[in-house]
Order: sequence, then structure tokens, then C-alpha cells
Amino acid sequence: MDNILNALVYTLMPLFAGLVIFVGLFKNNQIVIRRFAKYFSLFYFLLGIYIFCLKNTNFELENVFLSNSAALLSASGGYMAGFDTLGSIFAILISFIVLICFICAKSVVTAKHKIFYPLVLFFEFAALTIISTQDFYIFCAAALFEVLCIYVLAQNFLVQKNAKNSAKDYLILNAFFIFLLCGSFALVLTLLSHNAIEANILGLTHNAADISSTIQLMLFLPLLLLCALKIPLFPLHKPLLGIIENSNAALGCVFLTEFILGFYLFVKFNIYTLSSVFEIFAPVISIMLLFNLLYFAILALGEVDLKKSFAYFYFSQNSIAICALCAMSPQGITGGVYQCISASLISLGLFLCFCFVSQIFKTTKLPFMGALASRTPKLAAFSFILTLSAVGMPATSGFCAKFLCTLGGFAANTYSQNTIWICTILIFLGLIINAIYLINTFRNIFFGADECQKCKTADLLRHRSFALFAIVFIVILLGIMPQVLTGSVAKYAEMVVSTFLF
Amino acid sequence: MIDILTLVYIAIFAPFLCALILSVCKFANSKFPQYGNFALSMTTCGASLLISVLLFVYTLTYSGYVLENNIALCAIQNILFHFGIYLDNLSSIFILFISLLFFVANIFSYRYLLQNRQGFARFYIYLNLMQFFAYCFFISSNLMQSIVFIMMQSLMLYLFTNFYFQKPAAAEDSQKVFIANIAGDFILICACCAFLYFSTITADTINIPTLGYNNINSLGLYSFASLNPVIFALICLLFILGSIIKSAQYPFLRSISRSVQAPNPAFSLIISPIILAQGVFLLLRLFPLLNLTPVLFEVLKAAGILSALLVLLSAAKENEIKSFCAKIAISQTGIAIFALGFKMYDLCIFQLLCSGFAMALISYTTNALSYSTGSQENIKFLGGLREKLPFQAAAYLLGAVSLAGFVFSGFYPRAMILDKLFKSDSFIYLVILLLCSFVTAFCLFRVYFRVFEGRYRGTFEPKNVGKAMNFGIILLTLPTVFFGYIFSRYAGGFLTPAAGSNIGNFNPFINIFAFLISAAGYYLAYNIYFTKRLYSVRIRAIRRLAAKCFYAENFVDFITKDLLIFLSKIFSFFEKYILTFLYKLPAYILDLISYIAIKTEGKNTNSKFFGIVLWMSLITFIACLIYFKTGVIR
Repeated sequence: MDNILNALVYTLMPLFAGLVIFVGLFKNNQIVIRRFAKYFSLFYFLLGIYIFCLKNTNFELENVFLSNSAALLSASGGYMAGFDTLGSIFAILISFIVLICFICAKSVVTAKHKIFYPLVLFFEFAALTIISTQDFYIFCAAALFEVLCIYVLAQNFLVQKNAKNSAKDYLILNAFFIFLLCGSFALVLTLLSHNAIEANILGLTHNAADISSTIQLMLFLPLLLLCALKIPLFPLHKPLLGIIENSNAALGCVFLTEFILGFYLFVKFNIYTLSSVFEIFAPVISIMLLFNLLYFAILALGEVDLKKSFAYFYFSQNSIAICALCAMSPQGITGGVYQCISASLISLGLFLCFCFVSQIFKTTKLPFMGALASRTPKLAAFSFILTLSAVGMPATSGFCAKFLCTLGGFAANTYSQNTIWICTILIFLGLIINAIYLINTFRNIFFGADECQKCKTADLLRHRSFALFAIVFIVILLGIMPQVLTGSVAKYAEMVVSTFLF
Repeated sequence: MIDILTLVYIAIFAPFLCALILSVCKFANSKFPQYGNFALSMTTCGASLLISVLLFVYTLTYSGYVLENNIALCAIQNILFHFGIYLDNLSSIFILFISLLFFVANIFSYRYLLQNRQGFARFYIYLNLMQFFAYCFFISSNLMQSIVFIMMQSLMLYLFTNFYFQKPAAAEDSQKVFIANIAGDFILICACCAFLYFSTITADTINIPTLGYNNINSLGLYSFASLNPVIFALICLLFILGSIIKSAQYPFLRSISRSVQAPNPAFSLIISPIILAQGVFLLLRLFPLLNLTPVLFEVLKAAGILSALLVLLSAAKENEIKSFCAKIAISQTGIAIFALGFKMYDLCIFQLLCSGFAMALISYTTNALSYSTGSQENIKFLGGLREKLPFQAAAYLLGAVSLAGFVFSGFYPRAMILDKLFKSDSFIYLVILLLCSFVTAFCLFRVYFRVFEGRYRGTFEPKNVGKAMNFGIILLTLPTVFFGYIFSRYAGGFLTPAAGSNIGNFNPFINIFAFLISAAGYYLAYNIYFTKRLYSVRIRAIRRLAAKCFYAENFVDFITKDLLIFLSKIFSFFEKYILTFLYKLPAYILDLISYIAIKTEGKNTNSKFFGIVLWMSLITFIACLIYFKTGVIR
């Protein structure tokens, strides 16, 4: 079993599933295609949980699930892939998000099934390859392929011209930073080969201290820019904003996954591998992130477009996770990872709720919404729980995440502790503004003047209820039992911190 | 034989179980009768009250008895999270107080909900959850648990204020209440995390409750010794700020005062020390910590007394009876905070409880009035109710006399605080406190004369309030009359920590003077609102300021609305025009270059461009070569 089911096979499974649909095995039968994709995703999600949580008892190890295929890419010493702890958690999270995407696609994607489902599966494959691969060029190729999938999805399934232009911008900027990264990788590859070190990401991670700081910086900056585009950070947020504000429930799930990838790259490369450079940049990055948080939180507050304001809110929530990482302490990294997972799930749930609300009102403008609570109680209940979680109420994942982030911020381990402490305290300003935004939006949609006399006001359909229930369940589970994640993440954080130079 | 620990857990979890059963019945759409909701809730509340009486007697009998029990929930690194109970004198007396008030609230709720015919099950679910969270907060064994349940109470405040969510005012006020409370909660979390990190920076706390109240003293000493004093003081200041916001002190009144949209019985609970004094209770628990930084007591003194005075002045103009009650309650809490500022730990608690009983009596009496007059809550449209509701008039008068410090329970804490101030030569504070007494008496009797004397100005004929409500009022009358005397006489040392007791004798001279000051307040109200001889002397400037609540609301509104929206508009402008232009700039430059290239094609400029690019590449190459040769890059 171990020989057959390795990291490579696990990563390739969505690709094959996508190809099966794409080559026309199911002809053009929409129902069969949708069901196949949905059940495959469910199977894949459960397989991920089985492999990463149950099968691997040594979850804390750096390479949980390693495969080394010498036959592949034999010229460069074979193809090597593996999931570390964080990678495996994120792999499960991504497969969960794809599952939710397919569940929500039932009533959203009405045409071009043969393109949509394979593309999302290809995207999943590319995302998992980015996480698992140890090869420099496979990494770059997967990163490009993943953005290309997003581009094609946006071009085919988003109708607004603004969204299509944003997708184009997003592709160009991503490609630019990836090509920059390729150059830096080439340099590092040469150096590693010259020093008789295995020229892959693992080799780089273990021998980064031997590389001069200039080359580390040359690697650090393109990676930082790439992450800044995916997280996203000001002023590189514009393309992703354009995509998210125009996307529907199913596509939104895919686009929200970008943050997870950006976060993973940031932790794996910028913090773990290039820690000596990161230490210099940490105070500056934390101040930038604080600005990011306040800027997007304030923008969200004044925005009248529901999806656009959500996008701003989402960006500001992401900043908190990265800001906690800047503390470079085990608590900070644990808090950052927890916040990343929590923010992804909550944002996913809230985005779905907002999409359903927009469908009911047939508009995305907040002033034309109101008094939905008595008509759609289920939707109101799910939205309320997710809103509370985003605010940071106890018994939800939001509380644990914010608590751990704050604790991590105070446990700052860098040379400029005071900056991090001040940023940690000021983060609460952003959180308060976010709370105002969330409660304001909730009130606008569900209470107040009745704006839905003419609109269709059926409560949640069964598949949508299931999707939201799954998200809310995980949010509450992580809130009540944070040890489900914190145990393994804390060990991972300890491992990351052990490589720091100070 | 059931041991004391089991009894405590039964008392805590009975309301939760009740809420759970009611929720299941509601969501299962079972036809659970309205009376069933009430009966179940009353039963659990009665059981909790009985157990809390037992616990109080137990702790009173065995002086210095502390019951502690912790259940480990989860560990994150070296921090262990517990759900625990810490039953000492302080918590036992508060548990008794909570149980009594919830019992009365249950009695009042049934008639109230029958009148309003809305949300029967929902109300009882909320009420029981609120009781559960209150128990968990007041009995918590560690700081983390306290903060978790203080946040849950913020949620309950939101839910109760938004109970009639169809009303736009309810939705708006609930939002304001929630945001004000959550701001306080965030400040407390921030302080808690800072203290948690700095107090356990090296200590291995895996086997002991994290930030447990049993070792808060040693943790405080440890962090005080290892930290920069300024940082330590800042952490304590954050705790104080969070507590002040949670206690709705000036200028953060809206965290409580805006919850007037809550159902009447719930509102009476909100303005009682159960919710209002949570911040003060937290400060009492953190007293050893604050004791290390004496300068912070000055902050407490100033914040408490100024808040009390300003809010009282604002209450003197208030016509809405619920807002009036809220403001009086806030001012009494301000006086308790002031007492804590003078390190009068026991007097602070004594003041909270005595004023709490009197305030509960007044607020439940006004509940009964509201029920009787068809939800009329503006004192302009009330009057002459003494003849129609004599029992309620007597109860209100009793509460007012007590709260104004003439006699009964309200007299004792004020007398003792004045005595301590007199002895410590704090004459400025003494004068302000006397002024507070004057305004309190004036406010309370103003409402009395407007509501109970004169002629009835309403349109709805007042109806009988029923025996159940009268029974509830009698239940509250007893402690309002006797609690202060009994406690100061027989249990003076019950609340005292290691330092000497402040509860005891008091200076008769200063208290006769205070009595006269309060009487002057009464006399002024009598002349303005009863005989109307001095009706024209009302000071307009102060009235206007008070009506605006000294611009506290405007200030908070300016921050949360105007300033943030203004900033948002600026940022939107930047996003829409400047950033969009910057994104398009490369495209514009490329267009320009291609335009120039096309236009100059005839003059063979392309080859020149090619030449420039070639030369630039060469220079870059040479620069790189020199850079490599210097050895920076291996």
C-alpha cells in the first residue's frame, strides 16, 4: 500500500480525475460529470484525512509523506515529492474547499460542465503539487499552471469585463514573479550543485545557512512578491479583488484558496528556509501588514457593494495571520497557521452566504437589502454563527485564532520586539473595525427595512445547507477542541523556530 | 451523600440544561406549552437559588473556605486551558445575588411575555443561557475563563437587545451595544495575552491552571519583577480600560445604556451588577495585580467618581424610565470603582451589592409600572400612579430612600466610604461624592414625583399587576431593607482580604452632613416637580449638556461612523483613481513607446533603440562581473 499510494500518486489523482472528464468519458452528461466530480472530491478529502491524520503517526516530522521516484526526471536526480505537516493540513483544507465548490456548483454552473469540473480538479492538482514538490522547476511550472487554471476559469465563467481583465492582470503579475523566481532558483540550483548538495527544495532548506545573504535575498524578494500577490498585500490586491468581487459561489471557493497557497509559500520559504533574511525584514513586514489590516478594514466599512466589501474584509483577516508569523516565535507561528485555517473557513462560509443573499435580492448593493431574517431563518442562523466566529466569539475557531495570534505577537522572538508588540496591540483596532463591518453588514442584510417583497425568498436549498453546515461544524469543532490542530502545528512551529539563527 | 462540589456543578449546569431542553423543544417544533417553559425555567432557577443559599451559608460558616476544582480542556504549548470553579467568599455572595435576581426575573418574565405574545421559548432560552454564563463568570477559577464568559455575556447582551429584531431601533441599538462591548472584550483579551505571556515566560505552567486566581498574586509578583515597570503598568491599564468599558463608565456608556430595547425583565438584569459589574468583579479578582502599581488607583478614583457625577447629571434630564434606571445603575457602579480606587476592596463589593439590591427593586418596580400602563416608559406621560398602584409606589420609595443613602442598605456603604475619605483627607473627592449624593437624591425623587404624584397623563388605564410581580418585589424589598445592616453588623470581615476591614463604624458627623445633602436633593426635587415653586430655576446649560450626555455618545459616534467613513471614502478614492492609474501605467508607457516607434519608423530610429538596449546590457554585464569579482557572491 505504501509503495502504491505515495505523495506523487496522491497529487496526481485530481489530474487523472480531471482528464477523465475532460477527454469525454462521460460524454456531455452534466449530471454524471457533476456527481463524479463531487464524489471524487469527497473520496479525495476522506483519503487525505485518512493518510495525514490516521495513517501517519509521526505527523510532526518534516516529511510526512515522502516519495522519491528516480525514474522520473532522472536527469536531475529523480522526482521527489512530500508533504510536511503544514502541507498536509493545507492539502486537506484545499480538498475540502474543492468539495464545497463542487457542492455549490450545482445551481451556479449551468453550462460548460466539461470545462469547469476538470479545470477545478487541475487547479487542485497544481495546488497540491506546489505544496508537495521538492523540485524547483516543477514548482514553478505548477505555480504557472495553477494561475493559468484560474485565468481560464475566470475567462469562461465570469461575465463581467472587469473580472476578465483582473484575471489577465493576475496571470501576468503571477507569471512575472514566477519567472523572476525561476532565475533565482537557477542561481541557487547551480550553487547547490557546485557544493555537491542535492539540488532540490529540501536541499536548499537544510543548507540555506551556507548560502550568502545576497543570494538569499534574491530568492526572498520574488517569493515575497509572489506571496504578496496571493495573500494579497497592498498594493498588489487589485487583480484578486476584481476577480473575487465578480465571482459566484463556486468560483469564489477556488479563488479564496489562493491565500492558503500564498501563506504556505510564505511559511515554507520566507520564514523556514530564508529565516536569516526574514529576520531583517520582519518588523517592516509587520508594519506593512498592520497598515494592510487597517486599510482594508476601513475600506470594507465604507463599501456598499457586498462582495467587494467582503473581499476587503477577507484581505484584512489574512493580514492578521501573516502578522502573527512575523513574531517568529512558536506561539506566533501556531497562531498564524490557526488564523489562516480559521480565516479561510470563515471567509468561505461568509462568501457563500453573501452569494446566496445576492442571488435572493438579485443585487450586490447593501442599501437594497434588508429584513431577510424572518424569511430565510436557516441562512440567517448560519450567517450569524459565521459572523460571530469572524468577530472572534468564544467556542468558535475565530476566538482561538485571535487569542493565539495575540499571544504569539507578545512572544516575539526577533531583535525588534517592541515593534511587534505595538503591532499586536494595534491589530485590535483592525479587529474592532472588522467587527463593526460584520455586524453592520449582518444587520443590513437580515434586519431593517423590508427590501425583499418582490424577490424569491425560499430558504437554503439542501445542498447549500449541507455545505454551510459542514463549514460551521468545522468552525465550531476547531473552537471547542483547538487541540485537533494545535498539537501538530505547535510541533511544526517548534521545528521552524529551531532553524532560526538567534 | 452529595458533596459540595457536585452541588456547585448542579447549580451551574442546571440553567444550561434547561436552555438545552427548551432549544431542542423549539427546534423540534414540539408543542411545548408557554407555561411549560416558565415552569421548567423556574424549577431550575429555584434549584440554583437553593443551592446558592447553601453555598453561601457554608462559606459563611467556615470562614476562609475556598473550594477549587479544575477540569483541563486543552493544552497549547505550555499553556493549559481549564474550566474551573473557585468558590470563595466573594463568588459565593455574588452567586447568591445572581440566583435571587434571576429568580425574580423569571417571575416577572411570564406576565411580561404573555402581554407581548412573542418569543416565549426564545426568551427563556436566552435567560437561562445568560444565567449559565453569569455563573461561569463569577465562579471561574482563572482569568482566561473569566474573559471567555465575559465575551459570551456580550453576545447575550446583543441577543437580548435585538430580541425584537423587527424594530429598526432594536437592530441599531444592539449593534452599538455589541460593538462597544466587543471593544472592551478585545482590550481585555489583549491585556490577558500580554499578562499570560509575561507571567509564564519561563515558568512551566503545564500542571497548574493558567492564570488561576489562586496564584495570581505570585504571578503578578513574578511578572512585576521580570518586566519593565512601564510595560507592567500598561498591561494593568489595559485591564482597567477594558473593565471600565464593560462597566459602561463615561464615555463608554453605550455598552449598557443602549440596551434599553431589551425586554424589561432582561433589561433589569443587564443593569444589575450581574452584567454591569462584570468589569469591576474582574478588577476585584485582579486586585493583587493592581496593588503592585499604586499609580493606577488614581486612574480608578478619577474614572469612577467623574463617571458617577457626569452620568448622574445626565440622568437628571432623562425622561425615558429605562434609560434613567440604566444611568443610575452606572453611576452606582462608578462609585464602587471609586471605592476600589481607594483600595477599599470590601467596601467596593458592599457598595455593589447594596446598590444592586436597591437598583433591582427600583427597576423591577418600573417593570411593573410599564406592564400596568401598557409599555408606557416616558415619565412625561405618567403621573398620579400612587393612588392606582400604592404597593409599587411604596416599593419605589423604599428603593429610592435606600439608594439616595437616607436609610436602609444604601446608607451603610456610603457612610463608610465617606468616613474613609474623611480620614484620608481626600476632601475634593469627598465633596464630589457628596455632590453625587445630592444629584442621586434629586434624580430619584424627580422620577418619583413625576410618576407617582400629580395627575395621570397617560391614555391607557393602568391595570393591576398581579400577585406574582408583587411577590417578586417583596423578595427584593427584604434585602434592600436589611442586607446592609445585617452584613455590616455580622459579616463585616466576610469580604475582607488580608488587609484590615473597612466595614465597621463610621463618623456620625460627616454622615449627618451627607444626610442633609441628600435631603437637599430631595427638597429641590420636591419644589421643582411637586409644588413647582422652583420650576424655573432649572439650569439650562447643564440640562443641555446632560441631554447630550456630555457629548460621550457624539464622541463615540464620531469615531465609529464619521471618522472611519471619511477615511474609507479617501481610501476608496485612492483605490478607484490613483491605484487604478498606477496599474494601467505600464500599459500606457508601452503604448507610448510603440506609438513613438511607429511614428519614427521612417527615420530608422529602431536601430538606435536597439543600440541603446545593447549598450545598457553591456554596462549591466560589466557591473555584474565587477560585483562577482569582489566576492560578495560566491
